[in-house]
Amino acid sequence: MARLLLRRLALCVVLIVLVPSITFFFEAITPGNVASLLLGTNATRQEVQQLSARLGLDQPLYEQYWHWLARLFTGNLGTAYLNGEPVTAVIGQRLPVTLSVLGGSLILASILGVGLGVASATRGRVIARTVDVGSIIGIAAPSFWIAIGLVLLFAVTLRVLPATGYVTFNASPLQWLRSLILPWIALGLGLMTFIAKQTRDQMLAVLNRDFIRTLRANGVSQRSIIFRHALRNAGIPVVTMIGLSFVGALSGSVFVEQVFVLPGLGSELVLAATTHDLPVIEGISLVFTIMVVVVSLAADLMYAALDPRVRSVR
Amino acid sequence: MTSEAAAGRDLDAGGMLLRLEQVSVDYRASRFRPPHRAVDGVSLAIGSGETLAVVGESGSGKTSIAKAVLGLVPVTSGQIWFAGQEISRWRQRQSVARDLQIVYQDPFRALSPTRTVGQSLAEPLLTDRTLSRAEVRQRVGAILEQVGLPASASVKHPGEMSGGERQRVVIARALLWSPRLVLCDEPVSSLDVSIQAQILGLLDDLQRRLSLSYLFISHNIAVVRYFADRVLVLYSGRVMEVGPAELVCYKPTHPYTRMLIDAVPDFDPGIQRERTLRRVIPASGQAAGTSAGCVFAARCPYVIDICRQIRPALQPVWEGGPLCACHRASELASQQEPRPA
Amino acid sequence: MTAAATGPPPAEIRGASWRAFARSFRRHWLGMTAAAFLLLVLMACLAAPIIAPYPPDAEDLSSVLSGPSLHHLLGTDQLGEDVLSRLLYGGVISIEGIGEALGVAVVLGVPSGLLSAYRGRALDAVLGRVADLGLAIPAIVILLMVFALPVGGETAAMMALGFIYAPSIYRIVRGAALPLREAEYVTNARMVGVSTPRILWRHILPGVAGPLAVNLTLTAGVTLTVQTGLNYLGLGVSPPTPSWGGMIGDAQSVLDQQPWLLVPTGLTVALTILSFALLGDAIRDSLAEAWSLETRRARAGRAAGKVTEPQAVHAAGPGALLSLRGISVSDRTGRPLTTDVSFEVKAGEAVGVVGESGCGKTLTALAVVGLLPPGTRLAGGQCWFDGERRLSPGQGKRTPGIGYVAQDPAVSLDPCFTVGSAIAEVVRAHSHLRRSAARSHALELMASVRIAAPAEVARLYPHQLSGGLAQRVQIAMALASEPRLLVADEPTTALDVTIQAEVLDLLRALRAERKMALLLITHDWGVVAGTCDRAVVMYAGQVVEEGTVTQLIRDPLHPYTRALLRANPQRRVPGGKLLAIPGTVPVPGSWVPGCRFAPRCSLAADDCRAGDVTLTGLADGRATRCVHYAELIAEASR
Repeated sequence: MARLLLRRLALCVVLIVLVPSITFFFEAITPGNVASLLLGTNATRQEVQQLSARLGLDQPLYEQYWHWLARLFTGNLGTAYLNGEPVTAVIGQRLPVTLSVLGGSLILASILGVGLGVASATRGRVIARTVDVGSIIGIAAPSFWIAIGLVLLFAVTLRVLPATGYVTFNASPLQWLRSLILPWIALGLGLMTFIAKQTRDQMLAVLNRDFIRTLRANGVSQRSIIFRHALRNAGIPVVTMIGLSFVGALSGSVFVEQVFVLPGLGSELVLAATTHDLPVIEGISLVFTIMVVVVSLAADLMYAALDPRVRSVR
Repeated sequence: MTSEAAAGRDLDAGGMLLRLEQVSVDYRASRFRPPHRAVDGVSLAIGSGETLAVVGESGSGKTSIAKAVLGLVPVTSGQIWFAGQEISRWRQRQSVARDLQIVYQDPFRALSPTRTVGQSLAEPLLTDRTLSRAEVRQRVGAILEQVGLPASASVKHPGEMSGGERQRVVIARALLWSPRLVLCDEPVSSLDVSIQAQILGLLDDLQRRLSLSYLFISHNIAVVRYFADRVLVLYSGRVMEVGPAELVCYKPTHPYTRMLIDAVPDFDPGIQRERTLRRVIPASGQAAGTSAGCVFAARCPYVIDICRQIRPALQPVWEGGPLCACHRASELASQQEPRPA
Repeated sequence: MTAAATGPPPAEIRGASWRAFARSFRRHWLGMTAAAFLLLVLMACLAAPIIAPYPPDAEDLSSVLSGPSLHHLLGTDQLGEDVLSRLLYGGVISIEGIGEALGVAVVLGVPSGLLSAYRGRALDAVLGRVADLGLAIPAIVILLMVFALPVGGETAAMMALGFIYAPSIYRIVRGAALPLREAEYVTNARMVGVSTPRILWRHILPGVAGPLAVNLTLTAGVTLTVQTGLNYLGLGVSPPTPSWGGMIGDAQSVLDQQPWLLVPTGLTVALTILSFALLGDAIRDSLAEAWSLETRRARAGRAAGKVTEPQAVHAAGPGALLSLRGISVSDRTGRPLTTDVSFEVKAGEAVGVVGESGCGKTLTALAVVGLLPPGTRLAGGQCWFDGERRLSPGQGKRTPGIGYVAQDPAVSLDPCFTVGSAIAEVVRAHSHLRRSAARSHALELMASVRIAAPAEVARLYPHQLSGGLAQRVQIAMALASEPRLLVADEPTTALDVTIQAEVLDLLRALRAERKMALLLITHDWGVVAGTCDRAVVMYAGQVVEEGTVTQLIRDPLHPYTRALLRANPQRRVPGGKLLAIPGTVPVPGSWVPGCRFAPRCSLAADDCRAGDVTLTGLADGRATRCVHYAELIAEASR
């Protein structure tokens, strides 16, 4: 068990260095000069050279990497090409937004999804059918399409919720909530239906297993069987799957931020991609990687908490 | 006299077909833990046309012996001789594969589920380039007949056949190259009793017709005492007793063998009840390998101090008799009454 | 290790022939529809230059943002370009993208997965680490990064996506191939000298192909989502080249003027992704069904036997704790699995139900306990317990006073709970004791089943126990409800022989101490001989003989019982031959009318096959379902 955690942590460290390094090397090995890209095709040679010098791009590669790595460990993520702001500041402003969107939809999707999954596994056919249909929609429709549809329905037609924009929690909790409802639905619908389906499949599989039959035969109540035994056993793979789906949710959040014009990391990333702003891309990719790593670590811990077979050394 | 010499005297001098000498097999779970000794200094020998049964429960190491003989696991120490050649270090077993074959326990795993019976049987034949397709087909048909299956079986998939039929196919495959020794790893354990009898009958029949030798591995001593010429009892990787089947199965010397025999219920309910009252019940569990002393000491009802300190050697109980690894062997042998059949 | 008589093959080794798979897939109408739809989309888009009504960038400024009309079947966008045509041409981009991504993923993932599973530990360890890393990197980051670079473009991005998928393909292939490597048919092929490439191609790949196909279809759907999204963000293709994502983006910008524009593209994308998902599901289900024995045999023998009328052999006598009359269990389709099972268990008595696999003894036990498995139901018969008529001894309703011990203790205990808390929970379900009192009662129960150190064992989890210990725990759980009847379904089959003896001794002792009746299901005559007073022999879903154990063993009155005893090596006298029973046990659905054992019986005559044979009651509580039992008595006395 401890070995498993150590291995995970080692993976984390490697990733945190690796992913931004990939950007660095990608840029380094591709033809074409970043400086000329930034300045456009009309730039003169001299301007390009000046910019290169300013950005430190004329040094040998390993020196650049070394400096970059050293900066990384002191927490300095460089400055954005576009507007010269320190990358850490940009991240700092936008992180809470992304966390609100991601966190909120994950939590809502997990709670509702598990609940729906359990209900459809144990109750009647109606709920099961609803979950089936819902999961079909959730799987099929891309989140941004749903998002646009939601905007059409709630913002343009009904005018009850804002189409775009974000209000910080400190400014007004109610408006913060209002600005997040549609994004949560857009991002969370797919997640929720996925979780519901997985939960239902796992619950049904567990309820068919021999130990459930033994418990029933020995008189344990149905309630206890479902919530104490079946749910716990089914929860093990479900937790893992929720952890794995986080990466997908991360991608989805980028699109959702675009549709609803939320000032989060995702929309910043898209902007950086179109403007070739590499330091920003490196910085945000680092943050995303850390998030993924933290979530999978949490999933591993939950897995170990739920499944005693993983904990004991056998 | 030494046990090796006794082993030589135990068998007739026709030359042994398969001989294991002090074979040990270790498994390593990981680099950080000591290896687990699954087989510990096992010696055995099989001559032409005879059946040696290796009996043991789970954890006894009997499957590891089979794997070692087949070359599927490396032998940590000791030697394996087959038809005069030492094969324990050989990686490639093609040259002996024709003479040394295996029948597995689980026919599902022994036959590819996606290929027909005919294709599975043809495959080993096709490695020999000298045979034409027609010859291959003919031999497949002939071998099916030999195991009592119709030639039409060759187009079926294993999933479409019953357990007994599948096992016959596995036996057929083993016989393709007219082997001299067939290793049977629990060949009837997953079959119903009525089918068991059919398959055992078939194996018996084939042995007589083709002068086969069998290394018969089983946990079921009732089957073994019916089928085997000689029996070797294995516990936790070590040989406890070995000798002719009538002696080992009906007049066992070693305490573990006695426990095994006792566990097979008698069919006369009266006698059975009486045996139950007489039985001594020890605690459970097979101890892990490398302790000093007898590995069975923790469960033995006849244990004395020396048993825990010194590992008993495998020695004949009496002149020319079965070999037994117990400090109290001669004492136990003289005490016993012949057991009811 | 003792194994139960023929059970289903382990999941990892399952495979299906193409024939069986195709047959199974044809019956999944949803999957077939999805496949047809995908094919349609593929064909239509590839044929775009031929069938599209307009070139994709032809602007018709006279009808801008129009809805569906005669000239423009799906309407026009803000530049007057025809939506249908753009949809068709845009599909080509998507098809290319999916092809590139999946192609790279397969080329990287499949060989590495196969080699990793087949070749060796060092390679496996290295590749495994690389795959772990790959799976943890957020895809969106890499993709956007690719676009930020000078070489960035649609193709580069799709290939990068392929790289990102490769680790999960690697995992799937490796996961499917690894257990196959250990399968005996593979080691056998290796041993006889079949070459490695041939083994990989002939034996391992077919086993891998199934899960791989499922995964690839689902991945195709995901790829489409991602690609559409990237195009939506404006990355990858630039106007006027049409792409589905780009069209959605265009639709969003004129949302308030012409909301219809969202529909055609969005629906097409959604339906395509949905079709991939449905197709993947259908492939997976078809694979699972294709090799399932049950389906095959069911198709083989549809001739269902009738459910016979229950007949009372003995009246429900006084002192009968459990009384079954004409219990018949059938499956969902009405095919009978057991017919007309009747017998009694008196208080404190031990009755064995003996038979081979498929005879229906387990179903009978489950019917008694009230827990028939899903897919089966009680078709007829009645059951009395403790004087009361149980109205529906079928699914769901448990009968109090009856305890149940299952065959394999390893899977019969919840792996997430310590055994102590599991037993305590059952105790609490049957009494109103508080937690601590229930806990100590649980320890007492454990002591009563001869567990040496109850307090220590109570803290262990099921996977930490040996077989014998786990079985004792199961027995303790069953005793917690103070049952008057204990139903034990093959309680020792999964255990070593010496442990078996201990557990049987335990059951005997418990019976004596608690005056508990025992219904013991087994295929092992030795177990019956040692533990039971009376026994019931079952064959092909029926009771064929009943009597005391001594009577049955010494003077069997049914040819099947006699043949079974003669074939049993436990009984055999040294020197003689084991007499085998020719033929095989018929499966439900292939029972013949008349005596079901007749095809294999040496005494069979025409009257055996004429009509259903009834269970004839004889003196001293014996019963037999053989018309010629008198001949057996005559033979035996000779």
